[in-house]
Amino acid sequence: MKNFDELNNYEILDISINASEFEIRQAYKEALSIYDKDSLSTYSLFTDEERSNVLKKIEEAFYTLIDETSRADYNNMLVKSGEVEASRLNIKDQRKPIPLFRTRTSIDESSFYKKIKRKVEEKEIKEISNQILSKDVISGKDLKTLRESMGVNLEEIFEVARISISILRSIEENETESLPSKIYLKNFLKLYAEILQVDSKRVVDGYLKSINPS
Amino acid sequence: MPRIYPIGGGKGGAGKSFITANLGVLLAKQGKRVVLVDLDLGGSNLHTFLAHQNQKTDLNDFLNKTINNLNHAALPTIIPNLSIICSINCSLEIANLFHAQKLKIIKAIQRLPYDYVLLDLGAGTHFNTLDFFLTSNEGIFIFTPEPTAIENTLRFIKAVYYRKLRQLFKQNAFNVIVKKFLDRSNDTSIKLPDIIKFIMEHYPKRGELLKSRLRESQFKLILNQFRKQTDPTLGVKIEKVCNRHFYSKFQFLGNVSYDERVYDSIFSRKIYMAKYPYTPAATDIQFISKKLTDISQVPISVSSKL
Repeated sequence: MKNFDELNNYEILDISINASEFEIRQAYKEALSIYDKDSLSTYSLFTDEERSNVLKKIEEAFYTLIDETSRADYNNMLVKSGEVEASRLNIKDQRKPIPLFRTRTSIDESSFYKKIKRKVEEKEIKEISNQILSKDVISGKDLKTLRESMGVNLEEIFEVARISISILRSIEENETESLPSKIYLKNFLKLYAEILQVDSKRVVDGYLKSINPS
Repeated sequence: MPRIYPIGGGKGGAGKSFITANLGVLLAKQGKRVVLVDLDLGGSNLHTFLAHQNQKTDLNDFLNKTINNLNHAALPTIIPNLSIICSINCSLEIANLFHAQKLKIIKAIQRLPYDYVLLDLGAGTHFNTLDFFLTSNEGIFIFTPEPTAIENTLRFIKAVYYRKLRQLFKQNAFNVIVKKFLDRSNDTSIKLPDIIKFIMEHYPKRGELLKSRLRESQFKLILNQFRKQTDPTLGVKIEKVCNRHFYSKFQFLGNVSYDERVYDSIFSRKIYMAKYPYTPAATDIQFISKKLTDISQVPISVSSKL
């Protein structure tokens, strides 16, 4: 029987020398699933002593590699002993896990509001908003023009108001089918108008007329 | 020289005879000349899996010298290209085969004029079973996904491995080293792993020889009676563990699904592969047979120096 005596930590976990943290964790899990005392695949292959030795080695390997400083020390040791060529060590080759959700770094709210305040005072934008608010019926398209003229995008509104982007989009596209129920819609519109610093009562009334002409 | 696949695996009821018979059928259907040898002496029933009725001549005639060529004991089955050597007429004490008889059988098997020879072995880790298993370096281990079967199979793998090691010691004059080791350790129970360690440490050159000879063995693994709830990576995991902890090579050939119809075919004395050729289990075995015929590497026989 070969034991793990002649293997280095990377070989014990069966990973490449440039494995990422994620791969190390996966390999550790896999190794435990094989060598654990309840594991079917090595049932009765080892004596208790052998098994605990093997598990100890796996644990040691994992804790050495998962910590960045101890891993760097260990890599240096491998290079010094000539087991690994320094050129093979390349952090850039590490594969990083792809994040499931690409979360934007959240925006700074106070500077966001300052930006809108500055915009609202501009003459051009005052004209546009006055023109829109003076209309009896305010459609989603009007809201969109207003928002875009202020240089605000949907993601920013989502960040501040936590109204989902799909709902914001259906409000702006006047997609009556996918709008939430009236009570929610009213509140969303109110929030939306407040963020853009225009008269929220006017926006709510005008918009409701646009989707409910009666 | 035929390609010899001994099929064994520690536990009874794991499906050694079933796999042997049906693998044989599929290899024969690929146009290869195949002979199956029932070496489960004292517990032979390979012929039942093949719906084979005619047992006029068999291994016994070869052992008691009624015939002097083992090939004459091979009887054709209803499948073209497929022959079988039964051992049903052997005496009741046949399980305790003499050493000389064993060597005679092994030598004769290696001279059989076929493309493939499949040996159906019995359960347990008797020396005879181990030596038959080591007739070729490509033994196939059959196991099922139960703790008891895995326990027995791993034990069988270990037993085969250490038997092989003993053979190598004998063939390559390791006596002196082994003796030295025994002199050193006062412990009366000799452990083979310790001897290997001792050799690797003190005689690196001999150790290399040992390693390379052990590496010639390319064992195969088949997981039989695979059920839905079984861990699908079990076979691969065992392959990995064996490759890591033994010096020999191990290859996992695949899972064979569990199928109630196997019992049907046995009860109705029909060949499973002929009665149910498109069931999951049948396709699994087909896949394995393809894998076996694809292996292009030339087998190295463990010569007759036993």
